Amino acid sequence: MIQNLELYKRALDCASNHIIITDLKGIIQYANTAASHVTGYSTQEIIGSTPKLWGGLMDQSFYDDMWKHISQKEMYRGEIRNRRKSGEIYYAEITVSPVFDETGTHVGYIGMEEDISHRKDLESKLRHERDRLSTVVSAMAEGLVVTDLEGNVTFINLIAQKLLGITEKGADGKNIREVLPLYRYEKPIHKNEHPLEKLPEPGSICTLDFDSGYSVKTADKNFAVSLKATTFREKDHAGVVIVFNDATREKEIDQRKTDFISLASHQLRTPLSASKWYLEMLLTGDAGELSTEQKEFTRNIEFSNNRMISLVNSLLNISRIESGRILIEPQPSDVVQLIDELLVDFDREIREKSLEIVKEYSESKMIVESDPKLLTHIFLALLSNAIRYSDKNGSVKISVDDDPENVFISFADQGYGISSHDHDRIFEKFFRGENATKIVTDGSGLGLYLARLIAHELHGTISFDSTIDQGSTFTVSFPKKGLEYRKGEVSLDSKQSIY
Amino acid sequence: MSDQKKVLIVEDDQILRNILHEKFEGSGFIALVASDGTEGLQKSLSEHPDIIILDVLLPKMDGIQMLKKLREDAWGATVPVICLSNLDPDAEILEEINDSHPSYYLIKSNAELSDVVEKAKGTCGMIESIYL
Repeated sequence: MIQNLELYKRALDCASNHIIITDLKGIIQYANTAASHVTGYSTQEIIGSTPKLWGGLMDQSFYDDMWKHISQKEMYRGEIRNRRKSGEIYYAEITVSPVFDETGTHVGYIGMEEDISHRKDLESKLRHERDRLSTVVSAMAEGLVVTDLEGNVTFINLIAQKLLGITEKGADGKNIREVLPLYRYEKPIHKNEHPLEKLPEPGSICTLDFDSGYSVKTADKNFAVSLKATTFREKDHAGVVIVFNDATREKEIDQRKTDFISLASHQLRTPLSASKWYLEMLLTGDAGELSTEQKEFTRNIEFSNNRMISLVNSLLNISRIESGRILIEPQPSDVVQLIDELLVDFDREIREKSLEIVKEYSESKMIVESDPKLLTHIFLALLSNAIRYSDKNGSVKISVDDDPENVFISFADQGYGISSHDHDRIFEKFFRGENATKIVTDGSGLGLYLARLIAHELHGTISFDSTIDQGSTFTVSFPKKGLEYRKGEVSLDSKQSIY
Repeated sequence: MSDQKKVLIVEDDQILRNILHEKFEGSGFIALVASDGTEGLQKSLSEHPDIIILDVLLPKMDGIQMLKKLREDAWGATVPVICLSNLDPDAEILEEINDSHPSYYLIKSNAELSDVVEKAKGTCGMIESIYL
């Protein structure tokens, strides 16, 4: 029996929680080692005093409530704020239970405290972080919507609510396609274009820009939009973060710029036509036979003049596509034939550089339901780049391949390549790679920009892989079917090289 | 040379008007010129040319209006017209112009001068006569 008691006492002493036993008045009869550790008072100091030694910091109502419970022989549980001997405040979870002797007489209380200061500290930091994050997100100038992978809204910030004319409650659980209805040139977007349909890998971004004609249209809101979507995937948490803003003002400015380019380009064509025609007359001998040297000089002027005309045409093509006025006429088109016809046009350049053209066509015919004129423009831009940015005796490999839905066409050269530094900007309007501007001085920086704009119109994409001094591979892919006719608008200027 | 064809060039830019005049004259046409739409319509109706080369952006009366008025006339309803402009034929222009049946719509800066003349010859039946 004695041995057992010793064992129990040692067990209490070794317990990590702070444990005390008091009599009915609260005078402490026993305190374990942890009680000393937690409160900072020695066992001698504790025994004979009351828990007020380290307590008494709570409102009187707290203690009244506790006493009410335990004097009725009920267990009490609660959270308490106490002070160590050093003066440091700590938080504890306490349990106080009545103690009965073997006859069932109530003889005192046993109290246990678990120091939860660390947990409280973490909780408070967490709460602080959460508040800070929520303040930042609410104060963001952009609309922010978070959805699960199916597109059901899990969070929407204030600006997004304002922009979309919806409340947090109204958006909760609804699908993003309903909450944020996306349009392109006044028509609901093609379902393949929706950011949720082509969920970017975590880390990459899917962008829809107002200058490609995107807008948001709800029952009472209609605005040009710029939108970015990214996905996140954690252990048991995955979803999509969509950030967007009202780009009406930017669109207006952009429209004015486009109008200016269009007007200026049309005006430029008049003097360019005059030069073109007089040069033609000089060269055809309408003003008498030219000497060999005069002919050569005049041809050089004609060449430069034609380049200027091409540049003006490119600018006009861009303003047409950007304003969504381009004619789209889907019809059965043979991709292989389109490329082979272009190769004939480039015959002179290919021979001048002694380039080897390697064709890797998976089929001898690749029929798609798309717009052959627009496709030719894309191929033209990619092929002329592959040729222009290749050294003599290099090779250009053209691959045509498909899967059940899409066609993939690649142009791989062994030329100058694009520095990794320039990769992000290569599709920007007027941008040219730094090394390219040094080696091939003439170039407008419009070819790839235009190619990507057109690819977009065909619901396609252009991607590339490039290493400096080793070459570039540009791949265009687009769906074999599903392109819609867009009627009564202008077509792009006929086949012409874009410099 | 009674079978010489008569062309009316309606063009407001003096330099372009001159070169078109010179080229057409040099290619065996009798070339008349007008520098705005009103003059163009008046000369068309009084001179009855075999073909009209018509700019679209013109002072006083633009090319589209002139063409519409021309088509209202009994003779003018069938005279061949080649539109020669630096303005791209957008939806609006095409809609306006299609009922007036021009033979061609050419962009000046993209067309060879010789091509304009060849098309004019072809349209007013001069090419066949060359081979006769």
